[in-house]
Amino acid sequence: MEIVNVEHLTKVFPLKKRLFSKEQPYVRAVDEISFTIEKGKILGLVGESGCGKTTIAKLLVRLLHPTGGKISIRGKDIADLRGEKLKKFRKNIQMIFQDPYESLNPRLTIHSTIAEPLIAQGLYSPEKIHEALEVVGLKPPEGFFYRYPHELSGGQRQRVAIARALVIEPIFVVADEPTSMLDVSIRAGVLNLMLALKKRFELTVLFVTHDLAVARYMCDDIAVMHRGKIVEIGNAEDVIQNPKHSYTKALLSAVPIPNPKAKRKRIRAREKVICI
Amino acid sequence: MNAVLEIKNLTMSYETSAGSVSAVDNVSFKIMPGEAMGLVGESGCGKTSLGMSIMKLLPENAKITHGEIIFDGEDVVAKTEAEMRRIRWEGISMVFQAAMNALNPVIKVGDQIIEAIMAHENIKKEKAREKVRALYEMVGLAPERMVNYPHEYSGGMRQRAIIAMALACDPKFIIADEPTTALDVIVQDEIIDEIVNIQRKLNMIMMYISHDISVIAETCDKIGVMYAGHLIEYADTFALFDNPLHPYTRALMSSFPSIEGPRKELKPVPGEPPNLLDPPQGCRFYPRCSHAQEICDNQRPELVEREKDHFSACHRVI
Repeated sequence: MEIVNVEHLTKVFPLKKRLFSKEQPYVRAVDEISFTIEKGKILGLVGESGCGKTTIAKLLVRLLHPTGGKISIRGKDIADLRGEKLKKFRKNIQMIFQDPYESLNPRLTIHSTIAEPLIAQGLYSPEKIHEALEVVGLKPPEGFFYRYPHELSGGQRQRVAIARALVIEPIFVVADEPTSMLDVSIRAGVLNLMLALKKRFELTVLFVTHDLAVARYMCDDIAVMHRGKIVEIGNAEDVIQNPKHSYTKALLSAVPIPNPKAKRKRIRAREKVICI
Repeated sequence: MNAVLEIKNLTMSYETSAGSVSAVDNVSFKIMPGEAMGLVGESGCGKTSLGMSIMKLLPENAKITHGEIIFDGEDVVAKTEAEMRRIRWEGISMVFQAAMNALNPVIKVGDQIIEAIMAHENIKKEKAREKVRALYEMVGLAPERMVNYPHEYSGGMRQRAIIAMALACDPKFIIADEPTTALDVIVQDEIIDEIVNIQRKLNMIMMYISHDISVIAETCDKIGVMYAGHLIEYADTFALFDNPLHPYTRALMSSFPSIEGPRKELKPVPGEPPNLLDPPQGCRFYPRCSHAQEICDNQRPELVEREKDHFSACHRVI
């Protein structure tokens, strides 16, 4: 079943006008993008910084208003929702942010942090908070209730952020670089947790990352973005093993490999790099 | 052949309001002529503190309490600040992580490098300008861009300029501290390529600090793995990847996804790195180790040569 269906999604941002110029210049951050995500699948969105991947994430949770195109979540177009209707719909989509040091309110206890979305949607019950913490591996949950974010490590904080996103049982989750701030030995644990939760609750996820190896590990499908457009989209293993687009090839050939014997063949747009 | 850099039993600590933190604890290794050594570890393991100790650019609350840093036959630890000023840039120079903060925003990039050269070498400004031009070409920047300010450069270009600056006074030893961490994968790849080529061409020794073992695998001849202030394994790059001896090194390798080969299940390391205010008495990895024995709890394992040129600090021979 199709959960997310995006058609011709476009977002332009106005740039600063030049002095004496009448024309308003724009940058097309997201340019006519279309994709779908099936129920229980993870779509990875990869690309370099500035390619528009975070803009897409923000559009899908409607932190930004799209300039054009359609976003339907389980059949309902949310591209133009506003006000009360948008607020009601928000419980269906949740976001996990990159930096667990910034995304949690330092003045709220873990209990209050997770209770907040429940209260906002009128769904609060103490058992839900207990269960949410248990599900993300923060055991025993009671031990975390009255602690503050600064008392937790980066990995634990990101688990709290995941619990907060999942506690209201969203239809769709957007994860924007959820592990890029975590240390290697901690990162693997959070990635495995997300995979386990995806399986257990049949989560539908858009996973934004710049790390192709992480995308391969996590995702069913991968979409490669370049300058606001999707240049290649397909099954994750296909895209990694057998890339079709020249940009995907260049991107893959630049990924360092943790094996000194593997001699990478670099595909370069420029023979000798000279930055002008 | 004599080592260009030899570190013997180096220990340094930070005095904090909560107590003393030994960020680098009894670390020893050597770098031979022409060699590139990679220092890998997670945040807070002491790899940057080690780099800063060698440069003697430590903050006021930090102190080298024990050990020697022998560079070019002389002990850096005993040097005064005035003597260090000569050694920095000419002997040892450093490529810093945050390229944005390492450049002065109100001075043209070219002039900053010229200034650095003229502070160390007794040459005319025109000569220095010539030299910067050559450096720009070496690091892949168009010399015409010398007249621009840092904000007019992209992130990758700024990092290239920092590398050019580090090379300005022909150092014998270059410390690269996460030089590509803030950069995109394609730009990272170009910079790594540049650093490796220059290091080989100029026959410098290098210490490359990174949290990313795959970057180290591609740039360095030797690898040192640090954990919570201890150097826990040290070996030739190939030997380390073929046969990692320390449980932490193994754990680190199996928690890294790759785009090569079949998709493998990642095995996270349980627990968290220790609090260095109150580290474990024996092996610092002991609380997270799957091979832990009783002896690991109370006796610190020494770094010993298990195989030829392959050192590991673990009580268990595996």
